[in-house]
Amino acid sequence: MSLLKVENLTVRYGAIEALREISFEVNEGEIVTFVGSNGAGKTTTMRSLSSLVKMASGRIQFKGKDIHTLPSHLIVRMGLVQSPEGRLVFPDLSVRENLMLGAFSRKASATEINQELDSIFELFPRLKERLKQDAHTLSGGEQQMLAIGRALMAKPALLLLDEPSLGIAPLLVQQIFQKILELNRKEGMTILLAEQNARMALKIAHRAYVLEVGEIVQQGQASELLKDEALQKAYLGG
Amino acid sequence: MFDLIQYIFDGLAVGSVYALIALGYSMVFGVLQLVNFAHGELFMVGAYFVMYAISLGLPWHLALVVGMCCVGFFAVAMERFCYKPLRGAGKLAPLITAVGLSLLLQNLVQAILGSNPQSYPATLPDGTVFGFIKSLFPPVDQVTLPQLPEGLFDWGQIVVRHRDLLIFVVAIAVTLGLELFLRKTRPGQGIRALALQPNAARLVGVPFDRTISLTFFIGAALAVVAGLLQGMADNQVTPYMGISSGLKAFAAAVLGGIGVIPGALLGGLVLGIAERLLVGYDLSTYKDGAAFFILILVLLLRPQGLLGKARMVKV
Repeated sequence: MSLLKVENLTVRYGAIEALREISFEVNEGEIVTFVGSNGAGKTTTMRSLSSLVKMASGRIQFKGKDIHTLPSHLIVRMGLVQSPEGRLVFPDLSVRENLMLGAFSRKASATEINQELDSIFELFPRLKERLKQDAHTLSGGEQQMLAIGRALMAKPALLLLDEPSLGIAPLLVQQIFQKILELNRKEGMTILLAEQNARMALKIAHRAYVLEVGEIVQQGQASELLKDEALQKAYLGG
Repeated sequence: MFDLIQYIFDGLAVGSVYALIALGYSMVFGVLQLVNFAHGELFMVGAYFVMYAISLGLPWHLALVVGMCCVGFFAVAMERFCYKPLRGAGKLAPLITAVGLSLLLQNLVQAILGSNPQSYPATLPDGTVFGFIKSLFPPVDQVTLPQLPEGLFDWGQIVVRHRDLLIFVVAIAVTLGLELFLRKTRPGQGIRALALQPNAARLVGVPFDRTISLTFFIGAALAVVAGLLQGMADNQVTPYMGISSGLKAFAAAVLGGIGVIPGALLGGLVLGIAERLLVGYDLSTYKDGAAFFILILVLLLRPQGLLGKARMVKV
């Protein structure tokens, strides 16, 4: 059953059409990725899913319910949670405070929250070491871990990850993608990933959509797209 | 030397009123990056509201609570109908709207209630909605007006009035309470999150519109507290008190670091003391200019304010 179903999503910024009638879906248990170059519309797609940008037309269904009319906070409460492009951690708050704010939308007991924290520290031990540090003192990679951890604190049914590799040292990127894979394979987390680093994304994803100037130009099994010659030329560096 | 200390104590009361107004400026700026120039008028409207409510026979604490709620909701409506439609329209449009609202409120009050200063107990004008409100209350023979304590602490060279100290204590308590609210309660954390990183706040589930409304409500409620204190201290309420104290409070907020709660308190106190010092050293001509001189200095030398943090954005 599809957890997220998007039909004919169109988004405009003024006269510019950032997305033109794109349709896609994400099934429970999958990692689905959007690949495409800068400006293809990946982030716009992610932002409209969380209602950070208003769509011009289309329909977004999550868990069988229309969500495109809802404000962001209600979408989060339904379990569609995003770790945004550029991470957007709360700079002056400590790592711990950032994580706690991740649980803002939940009415969870302190014990539940602590269990959640522990499982996030298991995933990203680095965050535990930095617990009391202000978020802006973290490295880019650590901030990315924090942004993902913060999203996990909301107990997502579908986790949106927008450009988790952006501006991060290659070694850390490897690590973070390993963790994303772990989340999916071990805990069954459904993940929608937007990523410029197409090779990395396709390696861990089940299915993929290729975005080009606001339109989906190709879709299919990630393993097959990885072998696709045209795609290799365009996005995978030969 | 004793003079100096004396002037500092004397400046605390007026500085505390600036501080209470500055808190609202600072909070609203924190969440919306909007300088709500109409905020000073909320202080003025609050001062009138509480004065009339008390004059109609309400006990002062009840008058204060009702005033905080009414002016609070008025501020919420102001945001909803005047600022919200302008979201996404750049920064200039809401700023001009704010100046316009300020002038509108000031002139409305002047047209309806007269431009003369009024003092406790004040009678509402007959006719219109005010006459109706007046008819709802039984006539009171004897209004018990709130009095600030009149005593003095006399330490030889230095004399401190009880009422100045009381106003100062109220400002400190309110600032502490606000800081506690922002750190410990869920709605408070929502406001803080929104001020730090608006989109991230929405992505963790902070209700955007409701949190903005709450911010306006709290800012206005604090301005009403300031209005009551000022009205009682001067026993005078005028339609122009908002524009002068409001602008000075804005300068105080910038001085302390706009968006920083303890900064508003510090900025207000420093400004109040600076004004009193000018008066004390025979420079009272320049008293009303001090705020803006300080404002210019701060913007030149330390634009983030005394307690604000300047930081490079990590990309």
